[in-house]
Amino acid sequence: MGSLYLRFAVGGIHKNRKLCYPYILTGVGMVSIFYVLNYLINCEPVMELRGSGVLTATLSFGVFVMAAFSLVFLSYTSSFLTKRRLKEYGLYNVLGMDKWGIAKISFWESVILGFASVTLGLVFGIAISKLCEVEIMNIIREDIDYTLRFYSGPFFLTLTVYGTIYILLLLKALFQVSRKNPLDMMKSESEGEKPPKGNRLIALLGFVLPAVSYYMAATIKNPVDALSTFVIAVIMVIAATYCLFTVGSVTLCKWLQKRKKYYYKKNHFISVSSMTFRMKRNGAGLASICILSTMVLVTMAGTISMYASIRDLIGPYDSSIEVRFDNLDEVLGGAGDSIKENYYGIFKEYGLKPKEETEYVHVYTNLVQRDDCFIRENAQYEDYRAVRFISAADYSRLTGEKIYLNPGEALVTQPSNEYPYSTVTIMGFTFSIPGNPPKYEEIGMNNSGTDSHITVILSNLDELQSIDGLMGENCEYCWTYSCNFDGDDDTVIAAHYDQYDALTAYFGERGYSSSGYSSREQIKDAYVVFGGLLFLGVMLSLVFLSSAVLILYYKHLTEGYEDKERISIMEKVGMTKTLVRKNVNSQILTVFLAPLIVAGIHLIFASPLIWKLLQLTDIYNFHLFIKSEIFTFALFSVCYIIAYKLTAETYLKIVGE
Amino acid sequence: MSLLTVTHLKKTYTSRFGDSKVEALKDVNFTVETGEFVAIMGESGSGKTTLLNILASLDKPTGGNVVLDGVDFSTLPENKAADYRRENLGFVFQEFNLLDTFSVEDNIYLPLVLGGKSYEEMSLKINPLAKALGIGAILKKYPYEISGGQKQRVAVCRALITDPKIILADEPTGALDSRNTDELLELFTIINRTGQTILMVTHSVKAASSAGRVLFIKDGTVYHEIYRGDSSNQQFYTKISNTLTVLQSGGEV
Repeated sequence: MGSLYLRFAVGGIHKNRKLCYPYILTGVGMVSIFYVLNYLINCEPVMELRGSGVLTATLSFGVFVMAAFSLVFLSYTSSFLTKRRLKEYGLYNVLGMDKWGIAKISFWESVILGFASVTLGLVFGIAISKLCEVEIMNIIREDIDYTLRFYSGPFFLTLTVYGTIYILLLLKALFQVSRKNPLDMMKSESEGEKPPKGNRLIALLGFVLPAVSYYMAATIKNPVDALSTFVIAVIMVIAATYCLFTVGSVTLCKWLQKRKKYYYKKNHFISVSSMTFRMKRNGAGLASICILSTMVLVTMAGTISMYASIRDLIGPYDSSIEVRFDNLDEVLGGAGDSIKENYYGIFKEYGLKPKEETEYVHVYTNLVQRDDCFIRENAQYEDYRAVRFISAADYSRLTGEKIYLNPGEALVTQPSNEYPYSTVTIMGFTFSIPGNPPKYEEIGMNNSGTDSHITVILSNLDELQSIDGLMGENCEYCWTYSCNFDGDDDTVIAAHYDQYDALTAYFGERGYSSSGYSSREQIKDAYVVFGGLLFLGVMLSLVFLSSAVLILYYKHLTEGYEDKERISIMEKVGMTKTLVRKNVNSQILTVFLAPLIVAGIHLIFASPLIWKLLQLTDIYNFHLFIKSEIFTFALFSVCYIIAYKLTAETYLKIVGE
Repeated sequence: MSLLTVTHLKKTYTSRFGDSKVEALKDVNFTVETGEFVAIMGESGSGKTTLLNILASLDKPTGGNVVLDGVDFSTLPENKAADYRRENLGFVFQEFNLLDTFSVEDNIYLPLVLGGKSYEEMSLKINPLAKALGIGAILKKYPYEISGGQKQRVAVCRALITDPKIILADEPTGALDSRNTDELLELFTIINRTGQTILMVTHSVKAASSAGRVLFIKDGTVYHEIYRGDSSNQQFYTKISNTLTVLQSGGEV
């Protein structure tokens, strides 16, 4: 007897393969990506990377997102499957099979679907794990080894997580079956449908909520606030998208129907009325597609621009150190020379020969700007500007731009725009600005690109001594030495650290602070961090995208079955086949392009926020960011439209039968 | 001249591989005069539905032609056929065929909107007609909210609103209970008395007995026809069922 139910279940799945196979396919995708992410966390070459901690944290976050998303999404699609199957179950019930028998069929179906998804997913995951390992190594620019690996940990974790998810889905399906009586089941698909009700208040929310969150996103000032604002804005936008697609669209259609002159026109009559119903049935699904699309867009635009900006994050030198003395005389009096001696000694030990050496002195302090006046007063953190003073000679040497200044003259440069005034007054002492300021160039440490930084070039730093109240413990007197090497990464990084440690030990005793970086190390770290993020972004985007495609496909399938009858009635009443087709096609197109367009709008308004978040990671290349967004949107649109075309085929096949 | 003339109508269905042929209609000939109420009877598989589909220009005949008011529409191309159907024919179906996305009122307006009529023109037309059909109070409702009998009257209203030359009814009582059936047939009789031509396909003797003439179709040809003459509905009912009995036993009438 048991095998009979199993046979029914197998037959049912085969008969509904249009629904079941894509469902299995999505499950396989999720299981395999979940496995791959876990595999990478356990993978030795990944673990042995410098900064693997950040990478594992990123991937673990991805694992968590995958599990949560899988639960929500698979439960959504499986309830869709069960709903379609209820009619058949009802028929079995009417023909004399008891609830217990139906439960058994439903049980076997869920078991087969779950088993197929998990097994195939694991097989596929193991098959592509090496490929993904190679890919991530490529993205983070590390050496690839070709040893095949398998870890039982990720295998059993995947099995447990997805086993649990599918068991939950099984229980849910059984619950759905047990609740319905046979007649309800048979009717479940052909219930006379109530016309949807518009609700102006909720519709209004659909427009007001995004407006508010867009406003929040656009006006955010401080990158540190961006993260919390981002979370709030995301929740609001999700809620708003659901309001907009479900109630908002229906309310709009209802309003159009009230305008008789517009409504009772050949082209509007049918599309407006059926759109009302279409949106009622599809609103939630379309909102989900829209949100998934937005997730893909935001994730990809963010991770691509981070990855593409890596070069900007890297300082220009293989080794660079900065020592901060506590008075100008010492630093101008050649205090750096002894440090350099020591430095050379260590390089020699490592067989390295410094080239492209630079050395300069600058004075650093925080001041508040009032037009062209810079003063020292108590103010909010945001109001301070980080002011660097540098001599014209050092500046010329550093940037290659020849600058001559007389005493009492100054040039001012800042990152975002030109300094607009003709003088600069530092605590009451006015310098005249003799010419156009040079284009801003970053000097020294690599994080000086924020808008709060400003550089003042003077003929000689000694001039600062005559400004009352400027000097003292509020200023840092920095000596910087940088150079490049021909050696390989490991040697250079080791030499840099040897020197740096010696330096810190020496100056720490004297109470001076120092800092340093090696671009060789920075670049490695940046590739691991941002490469890891990009890899995860691509993986998650793939999952979100294929989920959106599955909803799209299911929507087309149901639309097809529902429209089929309607189309035949319209033809009988006197619409030409071509008019019917044209009408229906344009509706379908509108309905399925709407999520893409709304997602695009969301992306545009989320941009200021994403931009602020990127600044948290020291990315300041706005053009690159915009380019990444456009690239992402274009690529996504192409994928979406291809997916639309493919799934629309199903629709046309059903209504054309 | 007759309103509708059907001559040597033939319809052959070929199976997908072309190896077997089914003759749904062999040679159908009949005419319908203006103002007549004609019922076409026949068993399942006799070719009734095929005939009606061809009359409705939903299907094309293999041979012969259908002339309505001097126009042979069986040869019209698809897009012209739809216009022709909308302007000249009114339909009443067994399953009502109301669109659930439209209110009752909008369902009735559908053919007029497709014909490009203005809202003012349509709203003038609907009120007297809806009143006469007893559906004036439910115009704003949706199909799911009204009963089967009401749905069928809405369908009749939709068929009449274009002032069609002929109403084609396909088993209009098939999905109705006996009270609603009586009401609908009475409605048809009243409409017919106003001069509306009706052609109804049915296998219900009761439905057929409200017509003025009954055509019997069997094996793809019109086998027999009887007129009501002066007989009452009840007498005509007996006449029809006797005829059917003879036909089914295979004898000559």
